[in-house]
Amino acid sequence: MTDHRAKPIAIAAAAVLVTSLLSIGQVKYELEQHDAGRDTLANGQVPGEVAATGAATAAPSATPTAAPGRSPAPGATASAKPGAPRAGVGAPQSVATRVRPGQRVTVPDFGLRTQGVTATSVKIGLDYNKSGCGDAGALEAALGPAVVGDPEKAVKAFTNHVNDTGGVRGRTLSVVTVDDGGLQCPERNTAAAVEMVDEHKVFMALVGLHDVGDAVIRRKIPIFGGRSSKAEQAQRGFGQFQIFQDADADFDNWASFGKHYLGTNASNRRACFVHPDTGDFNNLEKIMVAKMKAYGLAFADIIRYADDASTAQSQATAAVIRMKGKCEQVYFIANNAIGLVFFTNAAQQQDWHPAYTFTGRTYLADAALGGSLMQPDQWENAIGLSPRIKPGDHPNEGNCKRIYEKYYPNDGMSESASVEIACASILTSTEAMERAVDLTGQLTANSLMVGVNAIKRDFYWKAHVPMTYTVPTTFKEPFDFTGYDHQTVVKWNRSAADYAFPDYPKYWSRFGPGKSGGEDLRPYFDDTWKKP
Amino acid sequence: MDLVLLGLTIGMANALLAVGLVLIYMSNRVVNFAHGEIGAFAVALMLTFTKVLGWGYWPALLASLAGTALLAAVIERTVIQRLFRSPRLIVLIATVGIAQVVTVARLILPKPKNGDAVVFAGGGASFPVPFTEPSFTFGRVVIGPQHLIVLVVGPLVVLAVVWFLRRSVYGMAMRASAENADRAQLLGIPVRRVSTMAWVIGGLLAAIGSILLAPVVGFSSTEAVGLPLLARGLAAATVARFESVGLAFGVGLVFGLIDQLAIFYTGQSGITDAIVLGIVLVVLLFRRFEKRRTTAAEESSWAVADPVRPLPPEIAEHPRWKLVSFGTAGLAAVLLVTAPGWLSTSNTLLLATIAAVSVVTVALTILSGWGGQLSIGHWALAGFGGVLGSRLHEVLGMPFWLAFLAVGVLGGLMALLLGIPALRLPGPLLAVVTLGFAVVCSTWLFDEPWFRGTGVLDRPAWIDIDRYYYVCLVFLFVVFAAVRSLQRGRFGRNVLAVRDNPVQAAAMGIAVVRTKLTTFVLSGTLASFAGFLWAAGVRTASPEAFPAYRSLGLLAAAIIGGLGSVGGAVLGTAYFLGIPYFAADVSPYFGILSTGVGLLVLVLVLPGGLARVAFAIRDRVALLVTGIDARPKVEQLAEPVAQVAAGLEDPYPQDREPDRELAGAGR
Repeated sequence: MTDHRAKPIAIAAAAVLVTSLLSIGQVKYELEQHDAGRDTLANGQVPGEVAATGAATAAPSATPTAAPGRSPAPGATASAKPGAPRAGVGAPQSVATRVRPGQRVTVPDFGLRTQGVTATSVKIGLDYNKSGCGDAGALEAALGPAVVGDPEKAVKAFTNHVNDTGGVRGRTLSVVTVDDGGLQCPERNTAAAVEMVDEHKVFMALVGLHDVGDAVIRRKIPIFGGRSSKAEQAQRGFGQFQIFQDADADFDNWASFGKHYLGTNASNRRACFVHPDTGDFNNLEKIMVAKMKAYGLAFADIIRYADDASTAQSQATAAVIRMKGKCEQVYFIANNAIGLVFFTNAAQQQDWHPAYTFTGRTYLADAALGGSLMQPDQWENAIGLSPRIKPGDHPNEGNCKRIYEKYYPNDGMSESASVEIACASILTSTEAMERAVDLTGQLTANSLMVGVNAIKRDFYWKAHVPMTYTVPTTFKEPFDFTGYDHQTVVKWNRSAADYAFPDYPKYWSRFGPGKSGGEDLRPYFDDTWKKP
Repeated sequence: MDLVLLGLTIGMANALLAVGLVLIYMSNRVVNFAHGEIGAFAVALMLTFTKVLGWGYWPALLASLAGTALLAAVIERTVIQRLFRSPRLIVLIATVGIAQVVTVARLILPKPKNGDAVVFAGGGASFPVPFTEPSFTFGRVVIGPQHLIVLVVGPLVVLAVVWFLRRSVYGMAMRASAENADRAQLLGIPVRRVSTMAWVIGGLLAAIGSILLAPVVGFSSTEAVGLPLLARGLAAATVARFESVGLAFGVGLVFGLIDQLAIFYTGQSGITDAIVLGIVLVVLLFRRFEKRRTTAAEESSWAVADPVRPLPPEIAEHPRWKLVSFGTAGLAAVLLVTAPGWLSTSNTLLLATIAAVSVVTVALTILSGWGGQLSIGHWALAGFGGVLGSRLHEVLGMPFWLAFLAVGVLGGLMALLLGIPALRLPGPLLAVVTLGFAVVCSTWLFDEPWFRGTGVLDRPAWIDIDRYYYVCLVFLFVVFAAVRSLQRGRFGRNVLAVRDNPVQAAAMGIAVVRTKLTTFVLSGTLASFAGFLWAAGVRTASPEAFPAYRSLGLLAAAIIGGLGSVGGAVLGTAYFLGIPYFAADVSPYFGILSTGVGLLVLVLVLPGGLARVAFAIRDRVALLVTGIDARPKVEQLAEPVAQVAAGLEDPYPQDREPDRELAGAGR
């Protein structure tokens, strides 16, 4: 055999050898795990789970402090606050309202792991794209600090605010920040999770990217900021919570309302669904279609548009012409405002004026900037089902800005994205931790979820927005695992170039297929509206 | 017919982009990745002049065109001319950096406001037009004045370009330069000035196309012009052989039409890219090879020179050098093996991913450094391994290591499928096809239910991060050893021979196309293996983890490392992934070093890549250790220079002039 033929064969043989050795290693490990699993079961432990540390289980409960912008002390009920939703249909029901003041709740074992907390301190982690990691992010951050802001300063401001107003029920809060590299560097995402959990030993992580969250939750550490739907959350692991409405409840609300608005008669089904053509949104499409089906509805058409600017630009007109003959109602979800900007523009040029709706899934449509970029003639006809609260109570409308300016009065960044994110994530997490202490007398990863449950559905506390979370379904009362089920109605006010909220509270409440529910919002959807 | 009219209108973007790409390619033999960004810059200028400064349409239009032409001229003079004699790969990477610089310039320009809010994007109605009537309905489509302007002005502009190329003196000079720059220069054509002119005309075309289309499709001041649009423009230019402006224009229009029809009939965006790639593959498959005067230039201009320079035997065999080199290698081995012990877990993970991604850059080195072929889709081939691996392992239940072997084989087959049409012919066809593949993967294939997995690829439980590091290290060393072995063997010599002179290689009995194909299949197989391993490391196999533009980054990493060297590929990857990783703790501004801007600066300062620096350090150490200078001997040249300096002798007397001419011709 000649030399040049022998070498590839030798290389292939080496590759097979290495693969075989790795496979043998795997088999050996699995055998070890099998043996270890038998030992663990014999000791009454669940395999694959790490027992909670005892550090925080008997932590003292500090005296609650009612500071400006901070949460109420335990026992301060929802109805005592101005602007609280009325009791009855769709009224918020939380652990705080079910459990008598002073009553302690038994903490279930959600399988989460406790670390990073002592009787006097609690350490949490937060990731963001520090490095830019190969993209223009670093340049943009350098050019636009007033827009992007300074994340380190923002984190410091809200950490100081928590500590200056009593800490986490007496514990000093510290926040470590790590670089996640953004979407451009996926390998950095996992490393960020490793840094927070394994090296900094954080109690919980405030994650900015799904992949970071997945890697943290895999390590049984709770996260703020999780996957979009309950199915995805359950697939990745328990212990996720977030301030955004999850897709399931969001879509359920829309489908519930759609039943009254669209009618279930097949000839009336003139609603179309438009969303970005990516894996995440294609998964959401399945959820949305299933929800519609549950209410006897179906979309007349579904458009998956490209989420990059140049393709969205070029394809919007053809998509509009396709839908023009089929759809009178467009339910739009967008990853960023670009899709909506070009779509409403193309519809305007083609003299097509459908009635649009959107929900909290279209994040940027629920902000004045996004709305101001779209065709106002088109968007004026739109209705949003939004988890936002009435003007003046939203963190973007004063609270976060005021807190930040207390520490950095004149840097011009108080309305930046960094401030918004740090405010929402740090204050929300602090609130959850404090409620955990108030309700259970301890701060552990498992008790945190009890605290999370207590603020779910509350409109009026400092996080200001509902949250959703995932725990094992085997746990029932007193924990309510259903999503937030009613939303306020938003309309675009053209002259004010902002979203207007009708008299609060006006909301749609989801009651389930076959049932009538909530306030009749059809008057807000002006069917007679025509182009100006 | 209404949809056809719409397709022709919006397809004008593809058509004018393709014409601009052909013009630049004819002039510089480079694919200009900054072309779309230059057009977007013109739109931003137009908005600034009309909406911020309040100018009228026509003065603003003239000023925007002039500003864009000036920008193109400055780019050509400051970057392209500096790299005039550099390998085209270097220039291509430079255009990626240029695109990012132009994006930043666009971000800096003053933007219009809506109340207090800065307008970053807008629909066509908010973009200025010279007149607002007439408007009529044609079938299902409303045709406005903005559509009519595009339909009338677009073809006129292209006709003017065709006339310029065929009839004007400068047009003929441009065509002559395109055929053979050296010969054109000998004939007295100012090749560099012609190059500047091509860039200015290309810039103007980009500006006109973008300004014409903004009132139709709207604008975005912050979003970068995406690779899908560029891929379609390149596809049109490819069908036009990168030499026919008229054909490129026509094919661009057809692709625009296909885009509109596809979204209209399917309601899905990504399918367009798959159709366009399919058309290009079929066209290339049936295209006959024609020997043209530009063929030789195309073959040689894409090759990257600078092969690895071995140490002279007197140094390599020197006992002290052996001691130093073995000692250094031993120390490096000890450091690598013990790394998990003294590195943090997250840094160990980084090192592991550098090792895995290095295999992709090594694969690029084999393809580009040895083979002289260019791939802009190697991260997509890695993604092919990762996403398919997720399907095989997570969905279909195939054992992990069997799935690993399977994706390698299937990745090689995928490479074969792409390579057969693209590698039969000369030119940057593989670059176009692989870019198209990368776009198709990210916009369509990786999201298709029949192909995608769960979005996750879990490694076996026994492979924790430390063990994952060792698996990657072993994998890299196996690949490294195998590649070095191939390089020294007959296969390596064949690949180099085909790269350097395919005609001579064929004359010596080497199967040129088969050698190229084998190189690409080998390269694709390695990329798929690496993608699987990488995805298992970060436990992510989602389509978003394999974006099209990362292929460009990895190509840049390979070039930064120095394409001639396998070790350089590892160095380049370490730079590409490591700089933002560690630099973030120093300052966010260091992250810029790994951006396109940083790469642009690096290719201008270090056109030979990091490998050249490494070799210089090696030579310096060898000199210190052995007292022998490893650098190439230059006495023969230095002597006459020294004599001139001393005023003793004319280094180039009249009777030696023919030698100089010969030397020039050889070059």
